[in-house]
Amino acid sequence: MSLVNYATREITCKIVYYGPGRSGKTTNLHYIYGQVPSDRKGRMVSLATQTDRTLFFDFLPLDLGTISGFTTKMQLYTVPGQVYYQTTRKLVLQGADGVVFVADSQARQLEENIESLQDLHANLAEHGIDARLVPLVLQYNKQNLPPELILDMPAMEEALNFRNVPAFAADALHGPGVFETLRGISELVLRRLSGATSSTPSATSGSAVGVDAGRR
Amino acid sequence: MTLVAGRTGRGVELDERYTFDGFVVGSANRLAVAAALAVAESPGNAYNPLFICSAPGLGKTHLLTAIGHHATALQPALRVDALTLDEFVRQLHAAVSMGDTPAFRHGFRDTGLLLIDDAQFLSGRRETQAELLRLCDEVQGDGRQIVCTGDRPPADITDIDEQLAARLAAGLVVDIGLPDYEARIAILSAWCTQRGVSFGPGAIAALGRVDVRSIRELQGALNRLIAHQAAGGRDAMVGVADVQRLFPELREAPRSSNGRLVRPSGASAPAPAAEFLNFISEVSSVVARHVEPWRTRLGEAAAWWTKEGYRVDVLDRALRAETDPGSAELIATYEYRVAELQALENEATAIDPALAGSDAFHDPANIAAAEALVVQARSATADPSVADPDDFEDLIDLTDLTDLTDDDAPDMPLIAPVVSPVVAPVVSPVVSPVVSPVVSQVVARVVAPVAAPAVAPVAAPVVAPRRSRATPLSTVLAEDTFFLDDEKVVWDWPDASGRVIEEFR
Repeated sequence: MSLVNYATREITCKIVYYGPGRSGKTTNLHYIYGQVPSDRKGRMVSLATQTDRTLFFDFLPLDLGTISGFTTKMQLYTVPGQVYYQTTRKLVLQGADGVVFVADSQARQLEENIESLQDLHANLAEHGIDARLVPLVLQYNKQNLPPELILDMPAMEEALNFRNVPAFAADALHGPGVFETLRGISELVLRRLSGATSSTPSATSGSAVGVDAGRR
Repeated sequence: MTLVAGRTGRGVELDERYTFDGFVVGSANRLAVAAALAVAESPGNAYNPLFICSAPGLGKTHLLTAIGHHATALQPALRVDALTLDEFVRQLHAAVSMGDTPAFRHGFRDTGLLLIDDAQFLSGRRETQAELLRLCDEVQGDGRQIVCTGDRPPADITDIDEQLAARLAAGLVVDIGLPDYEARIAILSAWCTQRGVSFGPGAIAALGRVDVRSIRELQGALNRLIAHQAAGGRDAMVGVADVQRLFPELREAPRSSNGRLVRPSGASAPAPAAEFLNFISEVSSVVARHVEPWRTRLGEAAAWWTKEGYRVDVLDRALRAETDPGSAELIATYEYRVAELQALENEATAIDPALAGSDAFHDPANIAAAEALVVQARSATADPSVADPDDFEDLIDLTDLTDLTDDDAPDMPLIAPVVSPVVAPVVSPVVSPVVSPVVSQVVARVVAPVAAPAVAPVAAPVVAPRRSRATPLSTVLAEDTFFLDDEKVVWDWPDASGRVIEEFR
């Protein structure tokens, strides 16, 4: 997908929310949708089953108005998390400018998180894309749940963030962390406007390691 | 990461934006700036070490970086190593893990000016403290300079070795306070100039009164105002009322975090519109950082004039160029043409109100069409019986136009390119915008039989805005020609002597 079109003075980016089923991808979009002034949001398309599970994908177009002279639009997509919608996930990933991986912080969901992350990398590979080159942020959702049910931030980092990308804790149902995540991925994606995208965007801002690690 | 002196080193790249020139001095930072200048001008001789402390976002890093730039500008051979404390830790760790600590130490052997940012993160890092103390001894012992920044004085850093704290405070510890009102206005004005934005009367003064706790917050406030003007305020410039409406909640704005992980807070979320506006503000800031400034200038100009109803093809073509095709000059030229069109439209509308809003008055690349319309309107209403015979006394033959020079017509009003498309091929190369009323009369007379045979042979001259020979346009263009895609566009604007202005498309 073309990020910037000088002929039409448009910046358009496609961001895909990826993650295991029930991790909160659609909830993220619903929260964002609820915060956008009515004159700025397109119709959110959500194809869901009767039990409110995403059947195909959610799509939320966001019109950010004119920024630096460019009409700036974001297209937010979610994929269905269930394993049997593999084809759909692959399709939605096509042309993505950035990916938000929404992980479920519940301890019992750890395996699903890891499988989904592996699935993401496999699907990107099938598109011929080096996963290391795609702007990616992690969101550890449901951090508001009781501590005994969830993995804390360091544990989630240890389990999932082997690429050392920006990560955000969130409670998508109530909002904290949702816009921080969107800001994080937007920053990574928009870096490409200057062709300055780094394959490992946060390689220099990683977690504290080495001498005196963990003191901050 | 760079060393300013251009030698291989271990520091971070100094941000080119952060110089003393770009640092607004006020009562809250005057002492710090003076100390920083003294150190930059004479490393190792003024205050050694210099420790600059302040709350986050008040300019510590800017000042630290400015010292590096200024010092290397004065002493190109000086080696400057600039590191964040984290980077220092990372390098030390790498050396330790490879069992090569001596190499780490050796790396600072030639450092003339050592700049360390965020020294407060020394807290609890015993190994790092020990190494830094050893380094301080070595660097200072050789008369070389150390400058550190932190969010508190050395003695207030928790869990820091007393000896190191004393060493860091032994030179001079200066703090930077919150900018006062005048400083905030100066900072905002400088940013507006840099970014080429302007607001309605009083908006900046009102924004300066907003209570902020850091320069970053002030920058965020300005970004938000810019975003509001660009994205929300479609019909009018942002004014005082908008500022007051936008910033009542600024004190409650989320604080920026130093860490990567953003933990959900129990605090209530900002109002929906505010949260989304904050997001747009952030995106605006990112876009501004990553889109080349000339594209931003062109994009904003194109967006603005499109909204005003003008054709912007020429700006759009320029936007697609690989490199800056002289955007500032092009925009200035374009805006001058718009002004010409507006004057023509006013004149035409005065004659015939039905001409208001005609497409011909909205294409700055084709002023001839607008002028033709004006000529047509004048011709339609002109009464030949009242023509003043004096109008004809200076009539010259069309063939003389090729000899027209400034000396021939020192007081000629400057007007937009000629008249009618019918005539343009014949006269535009020579007549163009610098045309006297006399020439207009000649042209009108010549054209009349073709364009409007039923109308009187002499029409009143086209009166367009008079352009002073001192106009900045006379000096703006360094190059007369540039190419856009496969279409050649020649801009041949007047030189300092007021040479004829021409444009070919």
